[in-house]
Amino acid sequence: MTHETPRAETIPAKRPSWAAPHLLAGRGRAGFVVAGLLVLAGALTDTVAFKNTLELALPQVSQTLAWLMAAGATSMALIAAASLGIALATHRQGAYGGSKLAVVSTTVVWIGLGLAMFLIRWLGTGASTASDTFGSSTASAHPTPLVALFFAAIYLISGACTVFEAERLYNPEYFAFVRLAQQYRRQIQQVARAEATLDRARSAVDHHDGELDREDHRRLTAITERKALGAEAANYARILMASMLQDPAKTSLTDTGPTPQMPIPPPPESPQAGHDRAEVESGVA
Amino acid sequence: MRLLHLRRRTASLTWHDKIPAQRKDGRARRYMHTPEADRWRPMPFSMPPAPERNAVLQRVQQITESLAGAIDEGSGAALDRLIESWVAAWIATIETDYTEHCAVINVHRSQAAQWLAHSTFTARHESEELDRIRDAYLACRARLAGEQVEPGLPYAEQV
Repeated sequence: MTHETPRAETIPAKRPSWAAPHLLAGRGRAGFVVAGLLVLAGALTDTVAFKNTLELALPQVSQTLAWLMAAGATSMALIAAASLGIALATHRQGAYGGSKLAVVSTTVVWIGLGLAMFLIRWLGTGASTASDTFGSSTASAHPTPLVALFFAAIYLISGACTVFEAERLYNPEYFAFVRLAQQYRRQIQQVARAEATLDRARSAVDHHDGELDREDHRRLTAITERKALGAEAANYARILMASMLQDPAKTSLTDTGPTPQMPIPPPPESPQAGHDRAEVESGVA
Repeated sequence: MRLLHLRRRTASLTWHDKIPAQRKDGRARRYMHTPEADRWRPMPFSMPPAPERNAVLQRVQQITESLAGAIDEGSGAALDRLIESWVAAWIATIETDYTEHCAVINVHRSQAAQWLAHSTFTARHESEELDRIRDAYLACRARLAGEQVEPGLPYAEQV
């Protein structure tokens, strides 16, 4: 009894982590939706926290503008967190090709934004606004440091979740594979359509080539017919002249009658010949 | 004017062209869009009618009888030049019509050749694009499968 050993080259020594099963499988649609909703809820909470902080720092700003600025600050914070997650995912592969300065700057900006919110909320106790959001000074029944700490915790946990999700979901190799598979399927249809159009164009050219050949044949036939009629008329004239001769000794009158030269009919052309001609013309052959 | 008339007549729709190209239910089309060059059918050109044989022979007979009394002094080729001129006139008519027919056909053939050239280069472009996408797709799949693929080289040359 013999045992076949597996070939060494079929088992890679170390599987690249871009192809790790948990990265390729991704996340189910339900999990994706739940994660998205949770991140969105965290982002809304961040927005409210930012808005409250902005009202403390800039009391003269209108409500609408405060909401817009809060949404923008939240978006920037989440983008910075997602960038950190992508940088972590790239670093995990050992194929980091970006700038360390950019990563450090992103980290500093993200943490700095949260720190600014924390400090403003903590130190900005004197400001009073007409806000009805939680944590504002008008309805504040909690110690300000605790509220500031709570805001900072919200900011950090939402950012951490975004970093984690981005690091987990970012897989450029697999994204490229999926996109290329879609492009490949589409391109196959494009090529089939283009080839079919090319065949039809060849057929159209063949069709007109056949018409030109047909006209050649008809012209040759008509000319031959006329020449034959002319020869017949010339010979008929000789016969008439011979019958009207007054001198019976002249008997060679009909010896010089014309004999029309019949052209050789062209061979019938196969359809493939026209197809070949069209291919030569198109430069494909 | 005649060219336009012929083109209008030959570009008329056939039963094949009247098949709807797109279904209303949004499903895939069975027939592709038909360009005008694809609709052209053979042109029913008419050749000039052949001369009446009896009329020609009758005319020869009239001329021959008019030579009565002088035939003995002439030769049998007395009417040959005249008959040759008739034949030349008949052939000239045929050549004229032939030239006109070929001109009409060549106009359409040139348009079909233009379509052929455009289709040829389109097909080449699409094929090259397919090769490029296939190569990138296979290289990407190989990298995900753990194979070492040299970047910058076509995948087909590495396997």
